[in-house]
Amino acid sequence: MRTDRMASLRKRLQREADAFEFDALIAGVSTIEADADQDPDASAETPSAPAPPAEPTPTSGGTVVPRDAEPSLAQPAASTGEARPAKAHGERRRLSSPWAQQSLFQYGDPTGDAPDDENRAPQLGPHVAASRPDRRPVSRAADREERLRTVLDTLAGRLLLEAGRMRAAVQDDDADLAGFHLAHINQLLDILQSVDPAGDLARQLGTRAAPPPGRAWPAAAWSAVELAESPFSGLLPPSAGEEYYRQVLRAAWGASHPS
Amino acid sequence: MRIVAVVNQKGGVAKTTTTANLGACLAARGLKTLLIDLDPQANLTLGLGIEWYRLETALHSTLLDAEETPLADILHPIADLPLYLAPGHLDLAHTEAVLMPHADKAYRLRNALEDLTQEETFDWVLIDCPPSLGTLTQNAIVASSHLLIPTEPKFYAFAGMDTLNKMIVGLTKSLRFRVELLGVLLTMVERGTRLHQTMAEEIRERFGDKVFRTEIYKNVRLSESEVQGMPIILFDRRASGAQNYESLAEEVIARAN
Repeated sequence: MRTDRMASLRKRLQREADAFEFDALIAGVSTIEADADQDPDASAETPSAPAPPAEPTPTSGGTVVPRDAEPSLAQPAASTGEARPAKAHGERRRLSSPWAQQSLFQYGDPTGDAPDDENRAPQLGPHVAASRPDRRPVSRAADREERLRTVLDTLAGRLLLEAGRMRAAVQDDDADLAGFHLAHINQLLDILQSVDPAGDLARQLGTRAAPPPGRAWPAAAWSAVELAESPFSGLLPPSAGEEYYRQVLRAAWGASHPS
Repeated sequence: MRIVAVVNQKGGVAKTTTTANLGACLAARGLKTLLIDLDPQANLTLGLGIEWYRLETALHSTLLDAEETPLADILHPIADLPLYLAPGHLDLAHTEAVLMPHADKAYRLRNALEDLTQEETFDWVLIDCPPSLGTLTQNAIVASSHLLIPTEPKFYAFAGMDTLNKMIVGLTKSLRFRVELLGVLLTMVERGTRLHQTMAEEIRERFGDKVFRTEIYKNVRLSESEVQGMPIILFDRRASGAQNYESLAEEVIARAN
């Protein structure tokens, strides 16, 4: 009996494993070498800037990464109209978004005072900064709670925003765009699960959209089954069939993106 | 310099334990090693005895503005080893949300590492990833030369690795990077369990020699060392957990050369 169960388990495992492709993991991937071949000035070892989406790219091991072989979690800059970052050797970039800079202001110095050099970690040698952990408390418990509140509020706010956008996309009958926003929802849920798995913190701190008592944050939905079980499936049309779910999920994985 | 992302979107597979202890074992061999805690839970940071909530700056500061807070400015030396930590912080979660709309969101860590290595050389950089496939994990993968995937020998391990595989292939469409699998590491192995043996065999069959020969056995001393805020080799060198990670370090060095 025990042997039968193990054999059955092994068979099930093999069946599952056969359904998966592990090529990228096993062979590795590269989108760098082909670019270097085209541009003799480019450094293959330390690329300083991302390039436009690659054509099928041979790697050093001869592996070919098919252009549309698998979906992506990444937000493709080309398809969203965003400029790709360029970074010259040794050059450091600054944040361009007012939102990010505002956040930096809030987080960098909660008191609003000028940075205090004494609070910086002492220098160790010419390059590595700290010699001992800086254990100096920079905030009281209330400040820590405020930080948690800000983190959860930001994440929950972003979650609501993405959910609203997904709903709008569904109403526009744009499954690709809905999937694009679903990917962002999933990423946010991953973070929320990581920071506050049971949802208790969010409830305690009165975070918007905190899960109701006794419930945790919903799990990310990357498969049809997970999406069907997710409360976010309520954003999809009631008449949505399996194909619609698949289309949304394919888009979430990056197989297709909004132009 | 080898940059290794210790990655698996599943939680509780010993990513943090592996990062800390493998890093310590490499450093104990005289190899200058940098650990990067990219997980908003910051357990690597706490596990190495640094209270992230007392830090004025941590990795989130660097990811948001590397000019204001270069990576070199947040490093903490660990024990008396050539071992350094870029500490994590809860604010990394906020940072992930802030970076989401940015075109260069996946390159922040790579650029920060490039800036650091113009001034300071490390033999190894190990990145402890969060249990998700979000922007922070993308930063780790894009910055890395190698991936190390810890996994329990359990049924859903395959599904998790398939998801990770898809993500990596997806990233190749839009991002510029190169990464190789350093190896799959079987963790939390219960030696006497038939189920674990069967799963381990299947994973080895599927990934071949990409699976490390070393297995990390379940060992309570590993948990105890984290509570004490030190790597296992400094806490109890004779523990099976310490011996496992010593063996893994040898294997990792051999594979990378």
